[in-house]
Amino acid sequence: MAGSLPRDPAPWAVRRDRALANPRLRANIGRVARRLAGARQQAYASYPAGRALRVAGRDAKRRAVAHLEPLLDQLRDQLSANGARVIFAEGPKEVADYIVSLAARRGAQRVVKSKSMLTEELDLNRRLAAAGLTVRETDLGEYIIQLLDERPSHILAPAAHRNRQEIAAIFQDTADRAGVPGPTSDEVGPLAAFARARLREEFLAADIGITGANFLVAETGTVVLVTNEGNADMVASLPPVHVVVAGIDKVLDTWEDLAAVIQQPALSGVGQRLSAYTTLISGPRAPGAEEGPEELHVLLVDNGRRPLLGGPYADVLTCIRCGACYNVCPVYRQVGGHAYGSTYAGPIGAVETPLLAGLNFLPELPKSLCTLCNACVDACPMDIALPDHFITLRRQQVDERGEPSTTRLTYRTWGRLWSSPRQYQRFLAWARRGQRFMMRQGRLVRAPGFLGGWFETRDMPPIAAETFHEWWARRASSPALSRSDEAPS
Amino acid sequence: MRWEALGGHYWESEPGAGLAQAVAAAADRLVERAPERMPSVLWWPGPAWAALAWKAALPAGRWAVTPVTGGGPMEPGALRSVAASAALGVTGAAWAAADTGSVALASEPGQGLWPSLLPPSHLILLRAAQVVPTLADGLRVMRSEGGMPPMAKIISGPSSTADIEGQLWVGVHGPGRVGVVVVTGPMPDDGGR
Ligand code: SF4
Repeated sequence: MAGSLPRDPAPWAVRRDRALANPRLRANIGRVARRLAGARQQAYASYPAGRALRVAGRDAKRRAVAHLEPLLDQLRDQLSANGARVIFAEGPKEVADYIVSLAARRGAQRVVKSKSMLTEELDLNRRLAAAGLTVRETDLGEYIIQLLDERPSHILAPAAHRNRQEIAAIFQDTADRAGVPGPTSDEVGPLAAFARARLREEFLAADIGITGANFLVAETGTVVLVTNEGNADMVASLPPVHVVVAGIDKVLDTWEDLAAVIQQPALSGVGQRLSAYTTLISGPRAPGAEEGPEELHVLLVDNGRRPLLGGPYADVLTCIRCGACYNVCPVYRQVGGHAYGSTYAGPIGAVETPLLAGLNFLPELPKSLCTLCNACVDACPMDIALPDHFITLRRQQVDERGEPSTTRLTYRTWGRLWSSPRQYQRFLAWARRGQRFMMRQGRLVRAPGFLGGWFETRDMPPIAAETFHEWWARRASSPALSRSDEAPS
Repeated sequence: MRWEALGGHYWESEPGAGLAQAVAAAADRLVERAPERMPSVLWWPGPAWAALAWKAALPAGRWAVTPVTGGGPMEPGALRSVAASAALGVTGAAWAAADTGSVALASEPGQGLWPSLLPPSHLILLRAAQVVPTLADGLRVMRSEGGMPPMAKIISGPSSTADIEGQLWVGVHGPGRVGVVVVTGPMPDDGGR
């Protein structure tokens, strides 16, 4: 069954123009993306073992996706044996309903969360809030955008589009409403200190902690989380109930497989050899112990993933959400995450969103947000065939929905004009005669009719006074021309 | 160890009297003293360090130490508030990996993880024999030691974030200062394992 993802109601043209008309957003996103892409390259350059590790990690993920169902069963059995409750959930509604009834049973009200793309995908915060629960994001970036009521613009740096002044303003606002002192300045230190103090109270008061999972190890029944801030550890170990909401694609077979892939989110994402905190949770608190949750619930969520198993797009399920493809993508660097209109952005978002939610869901994603430059496939540690998927998805869209007749006519005419040498040369001669009306400062800047659209954001060199073909023909027919003659420029 | 490259502090010591000195130096370096307030320490390095004389390292006049020894918690709920208000948490470790500069901790009877999480500073006691070459080796150690602990964590440097304008900031949720004291040579109490 197709999954259900949140969707920005604004159409693509509006989202695109909103992003392109916001120079600060573009500058901030571009800077973050370039910094992370550079850090990744440096990390690999200084860590020779990283290359082999990447291949081993990719193979571990591929093996798991190829045998997903038995691994999920093993994971469930193992986690249950460790004392956790394991639930298979279809989509957003099942997940939210489960947590809401769990909260009712426990008399729980306050929920703290660490960052999870899946819960964004499920629009879980909104659903829990609608049921009367108070939900607090605790990753610093997520906290900021939650206060601003926005969605993440970068998978690793959710508030990348906001600057210090804006963050200080929303913190001050929050402080005023709570009747506490605000941040002492808009420098990073005081801002982080303010968030630390505010969130510390929420951690200690929370009734339920919700995390995602970076990996799930079937062999031992272990939930693995990586963070740099340490907030996932708080969420997982302070409240009396811990709920893990994880995609079924997160499962791995063995502990060896975990060792192969565990460094990848940090290496490919931010250029560290390992995140500051890797948290391995295998069960609720031991009897007699005081630390850790009394109850551990693990929700394994499908939301449109199972239909991809065994098909041409199955490698999409090996994505570890490292963000490397975002950081190198020339389209993402210009428009940032919000323009993609749903949870996932960058190349993987443009491919995966319609795969999870149906080809008619945000169909512009594969169509308009990729230049086929191939940068993503070079960056992706999992070797996901993103450019190939773009092409296949485009073909599938055309097969299923057809193309507008103007597009078809354009390509048919173009094809006719350029598919024989004679026609091509005739086209050039014709275009050369017309082009002098279309030039500015020696460049071709306009074209008649609908061809003009191409020049809206580009120019090109004019057609040469004498083309190579023409020169060649002249040379062959004129014995006066010697070999030393220069070709026309 | 890459530990220092990641922003962690590092001391080495032989077992014996030198060790208490190293722990004292580490605590002094990791804790920022506020005037007029004696810093509180949650001492919970687990049974492997039971023989270490913490009173010599953290004398009563300078530190307010809450020791958790023998595994039995104080009163229900008390431990959490002690951890939340401590200036320094002291724990042992399960293993450490040289290639990533990481130290792993496991929650087990007699060893909790809160002292590594809630205080602004965290000091880890580690035996040199617990250091393995790679992270994968370390994970194997954890796997082979029988059943999995309910929670384990691998720490690679201080808590950090770059969520505000991409600027690195340490100590956002977890400890901003982490240190490890590595004890070289055999421990008198456990035959050097
Ligand atoms: S598609 Fe590849 S590069 Fe992009 S987030 Fe997923 S794993 Fe990382």
